[in-house]
Amino acid sequence: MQKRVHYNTSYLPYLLVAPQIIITLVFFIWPAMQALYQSFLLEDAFGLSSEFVWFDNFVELYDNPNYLSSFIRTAFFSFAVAGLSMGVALFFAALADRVVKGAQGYRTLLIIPYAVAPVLAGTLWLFLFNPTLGIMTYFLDMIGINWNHKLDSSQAMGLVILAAAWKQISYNFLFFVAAMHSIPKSLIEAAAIDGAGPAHRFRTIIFPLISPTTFFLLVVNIIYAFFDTFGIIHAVTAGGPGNSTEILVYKVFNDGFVGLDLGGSAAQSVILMFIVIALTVIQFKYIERKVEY
Amino acid sequence: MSTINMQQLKKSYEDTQVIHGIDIDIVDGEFIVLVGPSGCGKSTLLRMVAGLESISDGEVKIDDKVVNKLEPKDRGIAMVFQNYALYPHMTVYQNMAYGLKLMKLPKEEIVQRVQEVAELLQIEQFLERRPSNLSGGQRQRVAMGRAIVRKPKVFLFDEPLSNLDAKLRVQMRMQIKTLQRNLGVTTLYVTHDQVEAMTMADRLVVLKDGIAAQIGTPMEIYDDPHNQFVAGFIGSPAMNFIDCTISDEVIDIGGQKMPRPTDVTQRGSVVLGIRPEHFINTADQPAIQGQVDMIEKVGASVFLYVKCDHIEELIVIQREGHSQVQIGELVPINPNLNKLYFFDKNTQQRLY
Repeated sequence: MQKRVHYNTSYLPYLLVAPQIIITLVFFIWPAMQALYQSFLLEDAFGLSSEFVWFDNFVELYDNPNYLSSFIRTAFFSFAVAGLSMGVALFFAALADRVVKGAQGYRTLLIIPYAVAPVLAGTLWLFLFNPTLGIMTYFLDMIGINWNHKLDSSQAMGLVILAAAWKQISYNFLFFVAAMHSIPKSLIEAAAIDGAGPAHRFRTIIFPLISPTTFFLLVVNIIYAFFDTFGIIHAVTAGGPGNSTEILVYKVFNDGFVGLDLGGSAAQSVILMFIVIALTVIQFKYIERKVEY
Repeated sequence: MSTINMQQLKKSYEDTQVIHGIDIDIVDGEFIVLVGPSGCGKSTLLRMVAGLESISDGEVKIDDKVVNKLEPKDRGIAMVFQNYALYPHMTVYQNMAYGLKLMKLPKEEIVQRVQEVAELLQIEQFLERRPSNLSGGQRQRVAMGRAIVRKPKVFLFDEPLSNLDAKLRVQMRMQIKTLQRNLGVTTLYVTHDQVEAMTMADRLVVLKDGIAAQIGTPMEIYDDPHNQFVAGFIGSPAMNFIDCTISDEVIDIGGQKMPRPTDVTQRGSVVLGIRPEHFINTADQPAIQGQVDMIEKVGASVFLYVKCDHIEELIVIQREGHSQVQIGELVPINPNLNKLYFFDKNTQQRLY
């Protein structure tokens, strides 16, 4: 016999899922459709009329060396942010795992940056590294490094990577701590009896056992670096100097709302949409598969 | 060839003391079982010897060398955990070779040692498998293999059989005991199962609330328990404890009288202890009697739970397997007068 609750009214289930569906439609599906439609249009110089041009906007992007270099820049930026924030988070998590006293307070403090809005995080780092006022600039000057990210493109890139990675450390830290907690303590003890020191234990036992989490975080961090770093870049460098920190998502904004090339910008955002779809599919495929040891 | 000596070993967490000064001297090759109810500190004691818990006070010596401050790896021990603690991402071979690699042994010797131990434990065919593809008993053997392969001075077992089913447990019990005897390695074994403790131990340490209630061979402890706790803990079903009053002529049990064995010198209100197996089944002259409240048949024997007037607890009496007794029947209760134990009501110490 099936034990299932039956509702006599047919509209109730729809009513219950309606808020979620409406939000998704209004804020995600509709704008995405708009962008898709827009990407096939070419606006005239005065914004008075538009023309349906099929894939011309995409072809133009394909031929545009600026777009390609932005692509490479984005890839570099993403992997640098993911690598830096995950590396630091892993280091902190490994230390936090060994803390016994005050572990709760220690963890809470490490989680705070996650609650900071991207623009604020960017501004914070901007102040620290301000070429004329920044305290870090002052220290760097003392050891003979002339810091000016408004002129030096690699310094600018370094700064946005630092700011973006800093904000994501908390998130990664949480996941790494949780993963390490789920490793039975007796495994570590067995390894200790077998003669492995802390570093060796970490390398041969802990790290392999948290690898599913590491992979999950890698995907999440790349998605973060691709899409959620707009605020940081806008606050810190606004894509400059030159185009040196203009990653794809920033270029969408720049070309669309500053350069007013709405069609080209929409085409870029459609490409980004497909990238995030691909990344999400990879992530789900991997997570749904039971990880085998 | 190793001895273990514990002297006034103590353990406290902040202000609560969990181990209250334990002295045990273990000779070479001995199989010592630490047994006690949960929370008695037996695992903590084992982990202190292993070096996984710090020692608050006192000394642990292995081979006359104080090891209090040594790292676990430098104590010459190997441990088998309750959950086996096999490395899930490594094959059986890698699990067993992990410690040997860290000892920096040459590759050929590692291969040879693992092979030898695998043959000894009959796990050669699993060497390339991961622990997740093994049954509970096989994992248990791999965990033992990982301990043996290191050729330790001391084996430490932390309830290694409690995750196995009953039949396998009996089998592994024998195997571990035989293996230990053949290898001659000094062993500390923690369990809460008193049957396991009795069958495996050369000597037992019965722990209660962080104190060694009694140390001795299994039969010493069975025959001559020092206090009520040990008497009740060792033996299955547990010893009957009955409040009684001893006068010059008789022992008064809830109004019924039983002759006083002449060599019992105590008088007054005490606790009488009788094991279920120490009743005589005879028709003549019942000392006291009671009504059968419940019957448990286990095949070879029958346990009668008998209700006597003015006695709160049911008295458990063992009879041979085919005894025809009905519930509600009045049965004579004839304790073997040579097998009576008396305990002080307050201190629970053995009086006689």
